[in-house]
Amino acid sequence: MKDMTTMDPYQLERFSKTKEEFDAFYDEQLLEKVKALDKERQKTMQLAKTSVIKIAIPAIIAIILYFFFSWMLATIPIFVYYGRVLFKDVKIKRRELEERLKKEVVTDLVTFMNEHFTYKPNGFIPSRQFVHANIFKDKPNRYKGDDLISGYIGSDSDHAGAESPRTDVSFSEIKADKVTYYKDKDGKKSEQITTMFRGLFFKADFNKAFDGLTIVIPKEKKRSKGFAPYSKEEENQLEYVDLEDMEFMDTFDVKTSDQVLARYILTPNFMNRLLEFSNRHSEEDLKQSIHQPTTIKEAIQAGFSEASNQYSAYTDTPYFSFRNGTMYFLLPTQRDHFDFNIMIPLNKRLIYSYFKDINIALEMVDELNLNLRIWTKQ
Amino acid sequence: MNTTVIIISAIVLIGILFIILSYNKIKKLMMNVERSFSDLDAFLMKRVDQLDNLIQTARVATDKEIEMMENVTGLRSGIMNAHNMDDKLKAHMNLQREMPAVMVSLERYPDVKFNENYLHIQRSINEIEEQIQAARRNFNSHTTKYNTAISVFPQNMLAGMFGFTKKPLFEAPPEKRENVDVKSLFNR
Repeated sequence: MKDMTTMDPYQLERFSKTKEEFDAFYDEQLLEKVKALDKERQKTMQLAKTSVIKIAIPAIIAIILYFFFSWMLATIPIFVYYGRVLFKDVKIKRRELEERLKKEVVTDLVTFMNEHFTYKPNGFIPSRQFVHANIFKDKPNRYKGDDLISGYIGSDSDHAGAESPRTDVSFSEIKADKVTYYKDKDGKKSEQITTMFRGLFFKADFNKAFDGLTIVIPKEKKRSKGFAPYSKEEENQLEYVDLEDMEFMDTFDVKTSDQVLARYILTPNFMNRLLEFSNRHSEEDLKQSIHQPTTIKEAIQAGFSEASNQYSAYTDTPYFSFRNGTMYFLLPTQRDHFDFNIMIPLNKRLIYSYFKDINIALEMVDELNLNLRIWTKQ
Repeated sequence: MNTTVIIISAIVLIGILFIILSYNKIKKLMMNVERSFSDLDAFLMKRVDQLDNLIQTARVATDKEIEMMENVTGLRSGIMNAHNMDDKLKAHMNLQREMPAVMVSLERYPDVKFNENYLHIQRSINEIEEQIQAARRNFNSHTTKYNTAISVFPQNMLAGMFGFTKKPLFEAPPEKRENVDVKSLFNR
């Protein structure tokens, strides 16, 4: 892979943060907050354990008695109700804790990453943008998301006081499903859910003005199973593009509404950057996923992580779409982001995973030179 | 007797079918080359127009005669007088070779360098340069496909029969192959 630093003749301001910067910020601003929240989490965990014991003892007695008195079966609804009452407090506390984590920690982290970003825990990029990116064959009929971060990347003014270029960026976690309904043998109505995309969805202002559509999608063998990227109708409108970069063409399929436009966007230099950016994010997350626990406690926690998909690997190569001056970037991570599990400690490692997710947006602007404005687009 | 006639007819039919299919394939490839050249030509002409604008703006800004303008006028008329694809490509390549020198020459005039209109046209030229590169790559890609098709056996025989000849590529001059430091041009 080529060294990008030596390839960049523009020397633009960089906005992404380093691990060292994160460490310093965490120790100075977040450590105490995270510690306090973790104490609350442990208390909630203790409450959950007590609730389990409170329901487990009478349940065991009831099971034993069931062997002598079959009417004990009738007590099941009582146990269900009792369990709900017991765990109601745990559920409320868990929700409060999550809200506090997002309000006190994630919001601070987002502002540290970029002062022009705003964070909406319950917001997400609307489905019309997802459809507009035009990557997938079907429109999703079940679409949800959260953790919307939006704003712009760039300085207010340069050293001479003139207005500097800025790139509008927004991203959120998205899950888009295609639900098909059918009747089974017995005539019972059932549904089949195919997940089209689950991961981070980025929308950014591209640095060149253009009209048209160009899609860069992983080669067929690397795509998620269960769906095709384009409809028959689009297949006729979009043409395959045969580009010069062999490595790029081995990883991606490129389709476009205009052959010249595709090459205008995908210059040899930009293809290198896109490939590097795409490979690096897959590799980084893979490294994270193969972290081996060293103690029994870590192994148990890793088990919980696995169950909650907290640190699982990206399974697919990213998708890119360029449409009418906007760039869409879809990173199929197949996991939840900015989430927390009551059984997993709130610590630096977890917050660092949040940091890395936000940093992707900044790295995208840096590495793809999205803030470069040497063309007519301002 | 009958079998021989059938075999000969089949061979002739296959031969005719091969000729028709190959001819159509080559013709389609040639039309792609022509279409991609039209796209390229449109961008190249846009560059000529913008260069004219740039020179006019520079003249107004400096109120002096600009050096090298005779060269540019000569190159421009070369492009205007070219009628077939080969001549146009040669003429545009000549202009392309001279472009860096023209830009440097214009920027020697301090009045020009800070002129708002001039900077705007320069941005447009940057954009057109990128579009030309894209159109050039598209044209070369189609031309390579066409040239390959008429060079391989047995289509090369057919190409000879129907007068299909190799088309020239639009090569970027050596300086274009490097990443042009456009930002430094702005800061100069």
